[in-house]
Amino acid sequence: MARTHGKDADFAFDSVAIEDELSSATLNFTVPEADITSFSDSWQNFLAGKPTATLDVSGFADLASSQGDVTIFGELGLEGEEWDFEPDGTTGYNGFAIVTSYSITSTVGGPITYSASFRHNGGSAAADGAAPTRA
Amino acid sequence: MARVHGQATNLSFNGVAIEDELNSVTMNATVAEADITAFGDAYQNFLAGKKNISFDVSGSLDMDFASDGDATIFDHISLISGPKTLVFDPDGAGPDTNSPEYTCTSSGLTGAICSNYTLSLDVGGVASYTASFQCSGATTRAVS
Repeated sequence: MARTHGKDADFAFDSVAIEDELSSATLNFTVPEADITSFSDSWQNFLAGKPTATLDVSGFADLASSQGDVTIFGELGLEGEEWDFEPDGTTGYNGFAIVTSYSITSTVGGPITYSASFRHNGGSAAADGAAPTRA
Repeated sequence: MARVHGQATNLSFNGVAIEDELNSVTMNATVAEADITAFGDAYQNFLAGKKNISFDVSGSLDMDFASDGDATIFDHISLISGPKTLVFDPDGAGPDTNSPEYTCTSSGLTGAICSNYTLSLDVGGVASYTASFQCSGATTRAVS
């Protein structure tokens, strides 16, 4: 019954490691539910559809060259790049994803922070429709 | 592994610097997702669509002069003069190699449109405002 601290998570997008900027990373898997409930069913009845995965990250902005800001902003609207998320820093998931949102916030009393969201769209290439790899 | 304080952020709208009024700026970039999932795909499949950038700002109301935030933003709401240039410099030191500056430049239909402006006056506190800007066309990231 191992429990694992999140302090050593690794996250990379477009081959740029940004765990040195992030303080939170979430990988979300969802599966659409197709309702097949018929009159004769006692309980609601469902079939699973095609899964999808999204990633939400947040942290502290690093505006320097080759870091998170230039990498994520530069991928807005493009076909998808590699992502790699290792929740414990060793084992995790990877694939290809497009950037779906990116927000930078400056407040006068704190660090510049950012959040970004990604949509998985490929296993071994962008838009190949394949599952993420768990490695 | 640079981390940057937000205390020196600069933002200007229509050439008027309003960082002397603001205490919060957020740049929002979103990309539409086009669903291209086919029967043969194992996972749902998407292509990225066109980019969209907007800004949300808030701060203390400055109504003194025509060159301050209130007059600048309100005039843009009430005048049909086209989108204006908006410049966001997160650390206030750009544009430089490690200090980008984001600009939505006014040109024809391109530029920032004020989409929301709210004044709040509280009997027990400072007069404040929030504003939102929708960028039409490109926003660029300059490092020189």
